Amino acid sequence: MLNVDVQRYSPGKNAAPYRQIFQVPLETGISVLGLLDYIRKNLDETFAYKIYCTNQHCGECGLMLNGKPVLACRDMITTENVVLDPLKGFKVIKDLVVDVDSVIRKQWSEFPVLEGKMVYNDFLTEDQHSLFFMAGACIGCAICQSVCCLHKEDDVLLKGPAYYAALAQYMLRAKTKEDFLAYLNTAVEHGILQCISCKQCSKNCPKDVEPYKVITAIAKLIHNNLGINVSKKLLAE
Amino acid sequence: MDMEMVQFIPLAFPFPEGMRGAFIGMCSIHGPDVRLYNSLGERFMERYQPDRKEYATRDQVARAIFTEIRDGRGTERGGVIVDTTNNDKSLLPRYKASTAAVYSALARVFGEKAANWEEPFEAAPSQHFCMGGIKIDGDCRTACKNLFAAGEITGGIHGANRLGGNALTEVTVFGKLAGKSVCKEVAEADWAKESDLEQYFAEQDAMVKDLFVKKGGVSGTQIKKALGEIMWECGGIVRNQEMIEKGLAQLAELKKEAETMHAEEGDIWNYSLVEALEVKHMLKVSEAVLLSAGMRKESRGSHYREDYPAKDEAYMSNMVIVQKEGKLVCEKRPIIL
Repeated sequence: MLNVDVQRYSPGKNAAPYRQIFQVPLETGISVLGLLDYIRKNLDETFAYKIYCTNQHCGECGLMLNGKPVLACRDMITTENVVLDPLKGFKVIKDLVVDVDSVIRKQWSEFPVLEGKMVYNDFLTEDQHSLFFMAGACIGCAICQSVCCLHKEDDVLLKGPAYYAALAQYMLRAKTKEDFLAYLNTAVEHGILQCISCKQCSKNCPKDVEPYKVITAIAKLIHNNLGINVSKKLLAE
Repeated sequence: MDMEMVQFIPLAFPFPEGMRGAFIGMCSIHGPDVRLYNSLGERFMERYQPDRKEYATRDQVARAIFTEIRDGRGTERGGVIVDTTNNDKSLLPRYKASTAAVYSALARVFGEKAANWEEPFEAAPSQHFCMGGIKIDGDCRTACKNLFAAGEITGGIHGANRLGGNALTEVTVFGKLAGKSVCKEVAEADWAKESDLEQYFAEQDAMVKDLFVKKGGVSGTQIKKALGEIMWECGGIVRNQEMIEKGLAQLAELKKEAETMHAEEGDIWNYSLVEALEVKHMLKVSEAVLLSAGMRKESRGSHYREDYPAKDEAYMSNMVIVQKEGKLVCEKRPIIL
């Protein structure tokens, strides 16, 4: 038997979020998604959470499991007392559904569409190249943004780690040096140098993207190419 | 058209809750020497496909595993044993990199050793892809004016079985074709004359409101669960006439039950409404699958009939579902290439 403590909230209907406890006749060893599905199908049909691909591709199902940000399709229930909350740092739409789209998807939509044949440039070292390439595995689940020490809800200027994982894809494929430098300038504008090296993004990334390493690599490129002062911590990595 | 052509993937998670049916793949993505065993310890693929064994086509392996489990030779938890321990371990880094999501899922459910080819794990077949779908012409037009379709929702592109990798190719090729056709027709159409969208939206609105009103009826989730059970049993990996007819009869009953279906009110993140709307269409699609499967009295590609196990050239044709006076009718039509 699992003892599940969930945050419920329907804006418009409820004045404020409240807690609800579900007694679920299942054992540990199931996925978070299995638990959510069971609650919705058997205990409360109005319970809302996000789930699409069930296979770690879409990055939509991020939530807090016992205080830790996880993907519902990926992580397993290991304790009998389970506490579920919406992903921290985002606007709650309903129950466990948060508005990630207006942050992450909006950031992505600001990038230009790359046209023509993709060619990798030689503005990067081999290590940077492979690091940026691997960062292409980012699914935009916003977990890194959620745990980022600098992230605040509604802060549009300061972009989170996922933004730089996406920016790295453009830096890899920049056609001219001017484009490449423009991407570096964009990173500066969006506050990459404010990073305080808490490394929470890399610790919590479910896809092993290593956003912190990407951030330090970009910081180093900024230092070398634009001659801007970068904190020692960022350069030391 | 060709709605009987449903592809099953041989290996999926048989448990735990929430991961049942999730993709593990086929033997070929788990290394060059994967062996399948039933609960008696028999390497059963030697019996079904003596030449290619575990590396036979997806439909053949899925069918073999399904038969083993159905006949009581599966594991306690409803799977068969997948033994990856004979693989050349030097290939492990490549395997990890190329199948990262499956690798990490195996590690979480069965443990690190199973993911690293040191221990066997369990798997069962699952539905994977639908080769059948909406009939389109060369410009992705459907029979419905101004409606275009592309991708898995369309039928006939892969014939009776799909080769790995061809679904993504299909999406890009037909997506582009459909896009071009839409642009062309939008420019030419006289929208003031042709649009009956308002009437359509009014009908849909009425349908949704109707679902909210019927308090106390069954939920979409319940109907969906019952439908899943009927289709797995009667329209699944191995089919026969008796089961197909039984399935159609059960489906008719379920349809009646679905008339009392209700949904909780609300317009944001209302799964109750989503499930109810989805299942309404799923009932129709399921009927199309069973009707076509009943009509095709042969085995071809992913469609396997144990009462007609051989391919019959008389069925070298498409099964097309047409709606006549509110009823679905299956017609056998010649293939147009």
